[in-house]
Amino acid sequence: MSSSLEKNMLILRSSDGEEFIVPEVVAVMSKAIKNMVEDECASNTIPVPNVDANILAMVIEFCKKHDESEAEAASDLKTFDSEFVNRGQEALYDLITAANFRDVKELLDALCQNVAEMIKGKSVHHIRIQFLGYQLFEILTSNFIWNIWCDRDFD
Amino acid sequence: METRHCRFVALRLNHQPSSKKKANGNGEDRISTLPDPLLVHILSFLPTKYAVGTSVLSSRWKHIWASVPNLDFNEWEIFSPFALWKHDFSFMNFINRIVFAPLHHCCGCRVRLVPSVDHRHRHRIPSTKSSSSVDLHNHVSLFPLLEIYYP
Repeated sequence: MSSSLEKNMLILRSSDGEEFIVPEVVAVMSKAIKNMVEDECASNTIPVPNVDANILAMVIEFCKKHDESEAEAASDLKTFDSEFVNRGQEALYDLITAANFRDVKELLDALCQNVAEMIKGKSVHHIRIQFLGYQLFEILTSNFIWNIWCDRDFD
Repeated sequence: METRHCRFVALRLNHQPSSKKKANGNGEDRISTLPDPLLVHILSFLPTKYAVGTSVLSSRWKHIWASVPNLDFNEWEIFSPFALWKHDFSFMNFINRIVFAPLHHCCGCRVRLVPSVDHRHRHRIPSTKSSSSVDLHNHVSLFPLLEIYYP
């Protein structure tokens, strides 16, 4: 199978069995895969466990763009990054986990930057509701109890 | 009085949302399931003030900020000499506890304008730390008047 492929193509297999054919220059943007290639244990198919097909496709898209636009202006790349990471929280955390696991530094930095931007300047209640999945009533009740606790008198 | 005291404590603990299940409309608490290094990485993109502010979110987040490598206490208004005077030792102890915490494996924590970090603990700064950017020594002379705070 690998003989029919070009020399510099790699096959990545996601956790749910889907296979992606990517150029080697794109794949080695992941340090983990780069190490595998350098150690020559990436003969045929590289399994990418813990990362499903959707997320892997996104990561490959990101790496491709970064590889293509190496020479392009950095501002273009910035806008692409900011659009790329502008996703729902579910996908965002999956992407962060995948980027961390596969050791793609550019992607990880862009994603963490995005999450930091979302957290920045928000109140504690806001963060709790938006990120930690608290219900509004939980915050209200806990505040209510807390106020009673603080206003208590010790006579 | 004792019973009342205890009752309120119990209520408060019961209402700590951290001890509850997190299923709700927004989806569960995904961000807290990320491993510590990733949370630290996220916090490292925040200004120090907000990074430290996350410590009140839940028990999971309580100590995460302390591992952030690029803490910068320079921008805080508490650093005005008058504030230092007012808060005398509490802030100094705060900085001492962060910088010299045994678990704090940071490589660069910028603490400037702190003339009062405890001399006796200086030897506890590992060489990697002191060589990078914990340059407490250089800033001692910035506030000669405050040197009276040295123990």
